[in-house]
Amino acid sequence: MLSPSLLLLVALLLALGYVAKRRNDGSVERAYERFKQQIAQFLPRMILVVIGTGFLLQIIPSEMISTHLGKDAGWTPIFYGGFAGMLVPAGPAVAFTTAATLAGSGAAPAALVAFITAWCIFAIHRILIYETHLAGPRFLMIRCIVAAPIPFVAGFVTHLMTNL
Amino acid sequence: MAALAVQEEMLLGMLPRITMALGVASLLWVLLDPEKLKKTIQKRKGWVKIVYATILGSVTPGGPSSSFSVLNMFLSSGLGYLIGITYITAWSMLGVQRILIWDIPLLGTEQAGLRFISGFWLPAFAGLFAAWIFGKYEDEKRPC
Repeated sequence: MLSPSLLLLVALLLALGYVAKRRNDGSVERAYERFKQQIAQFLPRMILVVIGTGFLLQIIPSEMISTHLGKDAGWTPIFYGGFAGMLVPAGPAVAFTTAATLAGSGAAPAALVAFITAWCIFAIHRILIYETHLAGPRFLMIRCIVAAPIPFVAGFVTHLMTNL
Repeated sequence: MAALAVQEEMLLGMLPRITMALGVASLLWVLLDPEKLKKTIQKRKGWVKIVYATILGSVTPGGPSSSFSVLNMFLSSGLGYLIGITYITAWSMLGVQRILIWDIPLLGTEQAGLRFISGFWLPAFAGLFAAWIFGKYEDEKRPC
């Protein structure tokens, strides 16, 4: 039950909790308030994501996915994944449900890396709602130009690592 | 219904890790002070600055409003595109909070690890490119 990643998280939580406690300025209380907010926001979404993924896996044509996005399809899944990730106009619940469904249907790790990385960097809804007015259109344009190759490079590196 | 039982088991398995991860993220959100982050980066020199921008970007929790307020502080204090782009790219693609809460529970440790290893060096390159191409352009535009 106690996996190494859970142990690491517990250790991190205790260490950060100790630092917050030593500050003696109400940091722990503020963190607890934030935690309550986050978990109330997050748990319903997570339950829907997990159930949604389970249903999608039952109905999705997994043969088609493993042919076009699987390991044997070569480099092309990286491009499909990268471009599809750039176009997902929704938050993590939708993006990760899609990714988990693709993973369960036999998509290659490289395609998933390109997909998630592209969504992380270019989430269209985030760019339109926040980034244009938080940092200005010029900074946004520069960021998009220099970051455009990143999902594909990350996908290629993953492809090389998984096909060695 | 069998599928639903599997999903229920998966969800119950994920719960402790997600609770811990959200606890860590909440503490980081309270402990990380933008002013301190700025000073930490300003103190460093050369490529160490870029490494710091990558690390600080990936540990900044929360949505765009918190990370972009740090970014604006960096840019207004003269840290430039090199640090600004590196920081915000690291925040968006390497965010530890996202990896702990979404990547690992839904895609597994191996897939999350592949994404991290194949991408951890890329924000620095994005920053270097931005400074190289657009930094030069900005300098030329600036009136003497």
